[in-house]
Amino acid sequence: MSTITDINTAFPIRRLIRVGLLAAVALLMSYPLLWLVSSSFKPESIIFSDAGFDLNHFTLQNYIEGWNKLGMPFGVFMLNSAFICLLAIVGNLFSCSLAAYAFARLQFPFSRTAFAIMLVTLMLPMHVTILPQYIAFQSVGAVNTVLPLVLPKFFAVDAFFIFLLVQFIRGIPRDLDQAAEMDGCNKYQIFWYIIFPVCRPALVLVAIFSFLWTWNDFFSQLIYLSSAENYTAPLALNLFIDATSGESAWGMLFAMSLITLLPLFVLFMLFQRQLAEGIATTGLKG
Amino acid sequence: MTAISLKDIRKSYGSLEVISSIDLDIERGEFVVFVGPSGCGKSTLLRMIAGLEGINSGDLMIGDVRANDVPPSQRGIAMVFQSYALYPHMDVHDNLAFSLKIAHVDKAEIDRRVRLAAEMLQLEPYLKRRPRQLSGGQRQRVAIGRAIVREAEVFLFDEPLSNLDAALRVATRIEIARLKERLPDTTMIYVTHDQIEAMTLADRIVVLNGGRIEQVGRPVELYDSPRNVFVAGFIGSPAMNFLPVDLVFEGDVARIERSGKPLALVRFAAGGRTGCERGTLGIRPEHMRIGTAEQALISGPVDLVEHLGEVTIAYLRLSDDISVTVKFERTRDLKKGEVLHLTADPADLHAFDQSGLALARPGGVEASA
Repeated sequence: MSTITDINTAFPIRRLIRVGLLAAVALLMSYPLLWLVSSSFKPESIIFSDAGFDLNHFTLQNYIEGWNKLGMPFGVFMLNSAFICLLAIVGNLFSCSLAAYAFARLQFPFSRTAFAIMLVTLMLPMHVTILPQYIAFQSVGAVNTVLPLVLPKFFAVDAFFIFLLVQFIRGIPRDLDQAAEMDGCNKYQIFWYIIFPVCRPALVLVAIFSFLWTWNDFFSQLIYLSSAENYTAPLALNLFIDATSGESAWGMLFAMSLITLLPLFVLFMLFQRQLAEGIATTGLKG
Repeated sequence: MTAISLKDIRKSYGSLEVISSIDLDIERGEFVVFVGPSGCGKSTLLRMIAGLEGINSGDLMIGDVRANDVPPSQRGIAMVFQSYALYPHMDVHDNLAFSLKIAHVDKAEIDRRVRLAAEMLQLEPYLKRRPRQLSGGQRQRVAIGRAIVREAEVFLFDEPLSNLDAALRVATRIEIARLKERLPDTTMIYVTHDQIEAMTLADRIVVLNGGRIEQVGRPVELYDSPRNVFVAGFIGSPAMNFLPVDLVFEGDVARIERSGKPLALVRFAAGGRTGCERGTLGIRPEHMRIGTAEQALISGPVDLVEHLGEVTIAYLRLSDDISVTVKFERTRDLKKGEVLHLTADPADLHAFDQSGLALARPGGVEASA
């Protein structure tokens, strides 16, 4: 470390080049996002003609118009998304941790086979299962409700989370289970009072990823939700694009996209430390 | 009154038998220590009593009840784990109170018992701390406190001091001895591989080896009259010296010959046997003293000397490639290569026959040649 500092002070030009290069690459990588941000504050007419950002053209019009453009406030779609996310998180936390506890701690017939099958589902593309799943939900009249999007989460379908939690639980000393057993706990009490709270770092990770993947999900929400009042934020954004007439409201789309990104940003800021902690303690490399 | 009784207890994993036919009665209020080398089955046996390991055959009686299939929490047993097994997400108070909470004991009673245990173990200032904010010794005390609040009749300790440093180990050992004094009716079973813990704490020691009991007895009894070569070698530090000898049985008396030379002073009971067989002579390092060449049981050059201040330990390499350890009181100036002639009081000698069993001594010791 000290050698690097020495070189930096000895050769300021080298350092300048390095920092300049890094800044250029960083700018290149984040350009699409920056362009999105700046375009959302520009009048629609100059979004594609003027690549730079001119303060004289600064406007909040896209936000004001976009918020109410779709017949109802954009907040409704955000709330729909949030509702689905909340249920998905609760479902995943509850069901995946219980399934992981069973795989990690309990002895039952064919547990190894069951674990292997569970892992195989990790490799199963979503597109293979979506059709039979759709037919099943359609037959019980659950299409165009949130059920197809959240109900599976209560049955531990996210193999990745189960795997993550199994690994974490395996790292918890068995003495804790046995001490709890001596203290009078049954298997469920051991799970609820000991394993579940001790898994907190891994559970934070599960909650955050559940939120991210559900919030950013477009495909399955598009398939299952058909009426506008049920639409989630990603589906609502899609309404700004009119593929047939070619007259898409780009400015508003960008403005609302930015609003849709806000919860993710806030979440990241709030849980940055736990996220790193969770990734470090579960042995999952980002 | 018998608190715990093991009758022909066995345990095997597949074809591997780890506990074979253990019979043992433990009295109420007794402090029993299981010792033995690693893998001798002492922890397994303890966990079988706790209910954390199944019993393949035999009867485990707790009081008058056959407890083989009684769940651990209903056996009236509390256990202190080697790793302490404190719940990391609970503070000390909640760790102590957890078993009572699960048993739906009312809050006032929980508080009373937790305070009592905390007071007994000087844990009051730490009740609001999490386990990770405690030192090793404090964690150990919380683990013991968890057993105390349950007011269990039997405490099981699974190598509770092995994670502590040397000084703390001595202090905690004394605390456990005091705890036993304060709970005279509580039966305690303690597993250790450290024979100092066993000798200092135990009312009775159970020496285990290869899943079998080698000997059960009071500490001094095991030291003075080991039943076989294994116990003789295991109890005592440094370990007993063993020399190959010939045993000459003459009906009532057994004489001992070493390299064809009779050891004139030494006699053991032959138990009616006659004839001659290979055997082992055992002498504890602390029982040897320097004598003349004529008297010597053993003569050999000093190979290594350790000065511990309180004692001096010398290692002798004998001509027939056998090493002998000698322990002298205080500091003694010994030089490498110096030949020592060692002798011992005949009453301190032990003889073992070909199968490793000790020969009895009564009437076998003669005053002089």
